[in-house]
Amino acid sequence: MGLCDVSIRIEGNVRRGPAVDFTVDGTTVTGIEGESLATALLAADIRRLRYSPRSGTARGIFCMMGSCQECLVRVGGNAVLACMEPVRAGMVVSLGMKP
Amino acid sequence: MQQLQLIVLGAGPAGMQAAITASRNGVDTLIIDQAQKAGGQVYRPLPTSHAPGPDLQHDNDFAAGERLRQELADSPARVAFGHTVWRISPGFEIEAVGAESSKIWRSQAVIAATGAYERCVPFKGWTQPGVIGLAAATIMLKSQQMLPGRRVVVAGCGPLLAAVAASILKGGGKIAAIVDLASRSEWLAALPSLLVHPELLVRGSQWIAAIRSAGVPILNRHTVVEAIGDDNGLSAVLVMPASADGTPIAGAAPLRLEADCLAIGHGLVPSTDVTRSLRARHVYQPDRGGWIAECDDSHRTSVDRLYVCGDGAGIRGAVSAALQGQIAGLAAARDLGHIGKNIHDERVAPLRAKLRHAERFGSAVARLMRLRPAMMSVIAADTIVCRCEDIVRSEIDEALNVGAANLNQIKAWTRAGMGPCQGRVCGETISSLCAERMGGKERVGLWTGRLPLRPVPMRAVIGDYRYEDIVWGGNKTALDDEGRLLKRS
Amino acid sequence: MKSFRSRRRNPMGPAIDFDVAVIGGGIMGCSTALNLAGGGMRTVLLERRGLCMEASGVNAGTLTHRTGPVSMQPFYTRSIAMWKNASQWLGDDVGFRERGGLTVAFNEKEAVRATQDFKLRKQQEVEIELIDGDRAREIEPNLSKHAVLASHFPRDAYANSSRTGYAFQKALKSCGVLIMTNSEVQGFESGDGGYCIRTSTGQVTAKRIVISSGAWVRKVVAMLGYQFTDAVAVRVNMMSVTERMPKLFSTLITHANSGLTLKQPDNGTVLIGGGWQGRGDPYTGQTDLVRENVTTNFRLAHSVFPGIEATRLVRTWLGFEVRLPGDEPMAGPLPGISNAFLIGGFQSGWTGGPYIGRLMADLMLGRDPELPLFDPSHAFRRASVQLNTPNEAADELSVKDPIH
Repeated sequence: MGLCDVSIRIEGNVRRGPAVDFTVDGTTVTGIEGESLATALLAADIRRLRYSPRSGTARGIFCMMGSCQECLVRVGGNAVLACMEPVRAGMVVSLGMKP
Repeated sequence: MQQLQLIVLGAGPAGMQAAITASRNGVDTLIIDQAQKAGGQVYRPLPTSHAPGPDLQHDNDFAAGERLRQELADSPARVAFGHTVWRISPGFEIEAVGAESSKIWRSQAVIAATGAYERCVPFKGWTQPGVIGLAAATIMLKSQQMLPGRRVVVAGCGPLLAAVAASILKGGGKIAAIVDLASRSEWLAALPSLLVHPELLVRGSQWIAAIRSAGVPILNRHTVVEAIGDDNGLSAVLVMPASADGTPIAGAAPLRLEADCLAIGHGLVPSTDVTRSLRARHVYQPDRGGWIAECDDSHRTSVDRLYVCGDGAGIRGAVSAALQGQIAGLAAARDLGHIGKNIHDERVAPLRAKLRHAERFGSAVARLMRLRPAMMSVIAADTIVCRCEDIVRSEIDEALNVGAANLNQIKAWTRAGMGPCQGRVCGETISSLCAERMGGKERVGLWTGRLPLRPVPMRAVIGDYRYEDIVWGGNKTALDDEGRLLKRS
Repeated sequence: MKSFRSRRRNPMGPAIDFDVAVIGGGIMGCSTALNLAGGGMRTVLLERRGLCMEASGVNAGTLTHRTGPVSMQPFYTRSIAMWKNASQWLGDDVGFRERGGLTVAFNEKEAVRATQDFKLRKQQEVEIELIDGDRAREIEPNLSKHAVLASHFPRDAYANSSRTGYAFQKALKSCGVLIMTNSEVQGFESGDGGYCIRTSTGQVTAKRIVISSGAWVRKVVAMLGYQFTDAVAVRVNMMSVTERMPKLFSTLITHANSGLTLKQPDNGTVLIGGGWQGRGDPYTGQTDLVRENVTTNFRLAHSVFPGIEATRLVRTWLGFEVRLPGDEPMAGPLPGISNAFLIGGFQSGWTGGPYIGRLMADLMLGRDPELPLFDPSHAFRRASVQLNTPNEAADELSVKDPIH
């Protein structure tokens, strides 16, 4: 982690915005400003975003449209859906902990 | 608080066209959407910091989305993007929370154009990271320009399979296989209806050509039976040959596909949260995706001045949605007194003709993506059916055995549907499991519409206040001036 | 009176005979039916939707001894003891938890009120104590620093009201009660043997009826030709629940001014109650939040536990709770007839249901109820002399609820 994994970002169709750094549970991750936090995390090989509360099973992106609530993480202490949240420089992301 | 004549909920093709049409006909209109820009799911825009390259600019879908966004911007309609509507009252008061603030509006009329979401049929291992919806994969590919994985299994039914697979290949990813419930003959049967939109068919055949030339295995009449992986996510997918009803053929040998992503979808479910909250009458129509608000040919629901259009009124695709939006916009303009009957009828006639035409394609595609009910019956007892609350099938069966009366009682007894997704992901599954025991989907019923429409931060509801300013009394029963109880029953 | 010599056949099968038909499957109806069956009566329970789905399943499940008017204390105390013991008589503990409770005060005025209230209760509840804000924060570390005083009630408890229907469905079935859900009563015919009751799923005959129809009572009694002398009102009680969050508190929280209940059950969600009103109509099923009441309810919650702002609101419910004329509950025979009874209109009916239903059954079984019941006769006038001519009110009040 710490490097942009360019192999899942498709090149050629878009000119992306600037690369920015943010933290995930204290570790620095690089993403592209404005892209969905969910896919930025995926690009950094962070697939597990939280655990389900009753059985403690790992969860990640599922619907990508703000419906399923599976990608719920905390940004700056606030509960947000990673799929609907744009990446910003310096954002402080906390992933869900095992219950 | 702002007072408007019309609020359009949802800025996909239906919502955008409704807002454009109504506002152009003189209606004071506001369109609200959760996303930062208009487009809904089918025309989901690029992030604001990304600029499209020449290939993308010429892509039909992208160009259509950009054109519609521009048309909306050029129309008199006001916009409130980045706002999540959580509260709607009869008559209509609407509250939404944005990044910075909450807003409340009052409107004489509402057009619900809230679209649809993915239908998910549970199977073993489906909740682990790496398993995503087909529509989710489409969103990642188109609007984020991201591959959903490096080696992907694409599964389910409908034309989205080919679209997603082709996109992944084009983007430099690998497809382990396409796992299609439908047989080739089902596709052939749909062909005459699909020919209504030859340009879309041509695109489809281009996708197939790309898939073939990449040597991607296409497994017709196959179904996913298990997603294998660990806490870090998916590593393999098991598939089996299937019958026409979508269930695996007992005794057949499973095939193991190595993959880091499974994109799976079985059609779309209309979003009815707004219409349910306002207690509109709903009907169950499987060929339109399931429960939808009953409406007339001007998209009026059973609730006065509440209209519904687009996939939320029944799955028929983007072309149909856009036409419906225009028709609903004209109806609102007429009902609010901005245009007379003659002008309305004159303008709506060609739209209705085009809609009938688009229906053929839309309904053929919807048919390919319909729920195959048997798939729900074969869900194993220990498979999670409610993801939010980790409820497994056997818990639903137990509640049915005890005698739950309807879908909402299943919710009360098992907690299925009580989680943050508010029953969106599990609703189809739970109601299918109930249907046999309760005597059909109509008897099972729908989730009772409850607020908030979406989870909303407590902070946004509480706002800023001083303790000493709190006004007491709203917990006491209302009294009239003679001290008698006000509310009559 | 008509006799049943030419008895109409039940379209669902042969005519069914019951000793009693209970009309309305909320807590009062369920509890009464359970006890009647236990006393040997062949019992049918008619419910237009599902058991305990209305007020009985949509309430905060609070079980404290400060519920309701003081005169009702003996009833609620006994009923709370039954809830505590529910696994014995109901076969399900309904999520009962005795976590203790704090009634919190934030200023001098509230402290005075809390202290007065405390002194009254101390006479009955020996273990309770009045504590200062610091001591309260020892019990609940996340409690607001602005809390100045609290009463501590170690025996305060709560249960999960949404499980009530499930528990009674099992218990009633195992007692041999026929439960007819999705069966709306449409009319009565009375004769020598009792009543012939028309429902949306078929006909039943019963020697006696118990009307436990909650917010829909006016329509049902109108079918028998009865009218209340005064308005029947409906409270529209709001309840809210948040998403699961890390443990914020463990006791049951109430406020010195009333208007707040807070619980955080084992699953980590926070339930917010307090009786704040919404708007709604039981006959159409439409409900609506009153925004100011939501705001105030949540601001009170936040005043107690500021940490609650970090979670999300996931759901609100609005439940219909009937208030009979004069705000007086009823449990007894309908005036002028020996075989029709009415039960309902209790404040905190869910709390009192288990015990009051037992008393109702005792009365009907010819046993002496331990505590006096509530005679309905003062609240009624007969709309017409003939029992078999339901008045227009019954037809006006057609239930148009389009969602199940």
